[in-house]
Amino acid sequence: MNNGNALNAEKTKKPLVGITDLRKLYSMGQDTIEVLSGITLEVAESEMVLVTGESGSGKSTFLNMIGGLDTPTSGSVMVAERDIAKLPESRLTEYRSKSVGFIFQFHYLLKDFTALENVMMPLLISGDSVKETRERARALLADIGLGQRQDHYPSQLSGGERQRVAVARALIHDPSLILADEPTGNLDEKNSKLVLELLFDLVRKYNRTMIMVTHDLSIRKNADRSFLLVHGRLAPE
Amino acid sequence: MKIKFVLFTALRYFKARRKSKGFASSLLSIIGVAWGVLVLIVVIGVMNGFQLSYINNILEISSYHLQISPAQGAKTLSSEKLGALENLPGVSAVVPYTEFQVLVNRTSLYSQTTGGIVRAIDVEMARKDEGFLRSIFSEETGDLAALQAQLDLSAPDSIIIGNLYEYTIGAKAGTELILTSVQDIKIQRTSGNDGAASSFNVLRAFKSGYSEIDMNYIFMSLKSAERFFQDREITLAYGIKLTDRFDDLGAKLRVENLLSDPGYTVKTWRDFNKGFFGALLMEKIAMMVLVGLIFIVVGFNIFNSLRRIVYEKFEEIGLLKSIGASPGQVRSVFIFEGFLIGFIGALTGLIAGLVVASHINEVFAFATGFVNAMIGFTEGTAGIFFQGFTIPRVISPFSPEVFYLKEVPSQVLFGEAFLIFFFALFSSTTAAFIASRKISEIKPAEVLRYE
Repeated sequence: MNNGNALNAEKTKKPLVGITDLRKLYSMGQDTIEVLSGITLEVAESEMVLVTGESGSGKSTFLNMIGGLDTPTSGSVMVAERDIAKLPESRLTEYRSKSVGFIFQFHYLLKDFTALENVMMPLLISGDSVKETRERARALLADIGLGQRQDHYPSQLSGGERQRVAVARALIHDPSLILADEPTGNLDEKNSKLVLELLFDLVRKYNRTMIMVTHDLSIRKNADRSFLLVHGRLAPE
Repeated sequence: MKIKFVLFTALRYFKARRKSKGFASSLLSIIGVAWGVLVLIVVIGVMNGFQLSYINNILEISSYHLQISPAQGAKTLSSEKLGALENLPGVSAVVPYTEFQVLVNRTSLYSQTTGGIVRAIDVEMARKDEGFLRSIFSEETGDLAALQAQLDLSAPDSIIIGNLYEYTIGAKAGTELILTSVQDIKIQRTSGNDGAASSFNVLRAFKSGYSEIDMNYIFMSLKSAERFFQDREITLAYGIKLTDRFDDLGAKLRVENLLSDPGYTVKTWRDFNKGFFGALLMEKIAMMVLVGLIFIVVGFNIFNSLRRIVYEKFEEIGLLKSIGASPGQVRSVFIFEGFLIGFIGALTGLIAGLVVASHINEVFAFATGFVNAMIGFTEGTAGIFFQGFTIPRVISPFSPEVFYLKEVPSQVLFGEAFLIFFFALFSSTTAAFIASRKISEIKPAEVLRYE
């Protein structure tokens, strides 16, 4: 299935993500539900792609496939020339820790850890030294205007601040690919704007590739390309 | 395994939980582990105290480290051979002796009769055996020369008896005793000849602290034994003491090579006491297993506590997995928590156990005082309501009058303390390992759904 040239990465840039005929079926008792019905998409390095769609259209499932959190029924997900769908669990873990930065609709910060420690987490998982990681996380938090809040626990932060910490956590380990799943879906308008501005600024500043799923159509202008996920298929907007 | 992440996260979780309600469960687990280790160390320490005291007395007084037993009709070892035996490496003393059973009674008309074991020894050579002297005269604190002076059996027909003969037949220093050889009673009955029965003067009573010895043993010189048996030939055995009793197998070979005579059998203390020492070991193992059952209870507590935490932290586990933590890494965080509970508990229990075991008599004295104070209080209070109400005021569970003890012995062996510590650590870590199994099944995509 090809949804036209709009689904291919810009020819001048090297594709980072290459999705081919991606399908996902869920069995519910006797019934089978096809959530993704053969999606093909290329995303170039440093590109920002937006996928919109109604709730339940399969946006999160699509993102989870690219992030290696879920496995497709068929098709391939090539990221940096590796087929994510075929990687064993140990390699998938390494892929998630080194190459991907996740931002979820809910911040999912660890409540027993300070903002600083939450941001440090991906690098600690990779085995980096605590001292270097701490310095790096401090700098990043200062960069996003939360330098004064680094020692606060999630319960002591506002909703917007928590999500900004989650953004910093997704970027601390310099992932080549940022996957954002409705990152402002849980915020009010003012905080949504703040977080999105921060996210787009950081992604541009660090020259990262981002795929974001959302149903907020107003941010289409910030993305390089945007698609509508409907009936399990991508259509250019 | 990226250990920094595991340590950082586990310690942070543990620290955070100190302030939460869930910590009561962890605290209970720590107390449980500590209590188990404390009880085991104290119980095993006291058992060791008793057992090592028995073993020491048996080896020093009764069985020696090596024994040379002559076959029927074998010749007495020459003085040259004895000298060579004494000079063998690792040998500290060689004592020629003979042993026989007797009936013992006082010279008075209505004296009771009891049994006894006479150990007739070469006194001069036995005086070189410091372990023997210090064991039979356990209450003497003098130097070696003072102890050697106590073993003076030069007077004709003089004997030294265990102090418990005073309880059985009222014999003590200065008492005259009639000893009748049990073997000769048989001779009298079959042949009508007179057997050996002579009166002996009790020079002094000894106390080893091991009732079996203090109740049965009588020491006399070989010369007295010869007179007792009316110059009939006595077959001598030889007891050997080693500087290191655990060198018994090597020393046995050296002695056998020196004797090079099949008429003599050399046995080590292990051969002689196999049954008794085996029983002591079994007793200790059984006690360890029984008291160690507490760790199973503690293990269940840790298992339940950590399993609940795992369920509470489903989302956080999902998040950690989604940002690259492997199932093994996340699982290790929780296993480390179990290890930490075990380590803190076991270390606390180990320290407390060593302190209690080394001050066991003070602990008993305190416990006795406390119980007596409670009894006094109860009696006083009850007396207000019930006139004439009385209960025994003084309870002394470790009174020397009741038990054959001056004090409760206690000795903690390093290997056993380490084993108990390790077992506590193992049980808590294993409980955490089992409790964390669920982590491998958690799928981030399912847990982090926020619809």
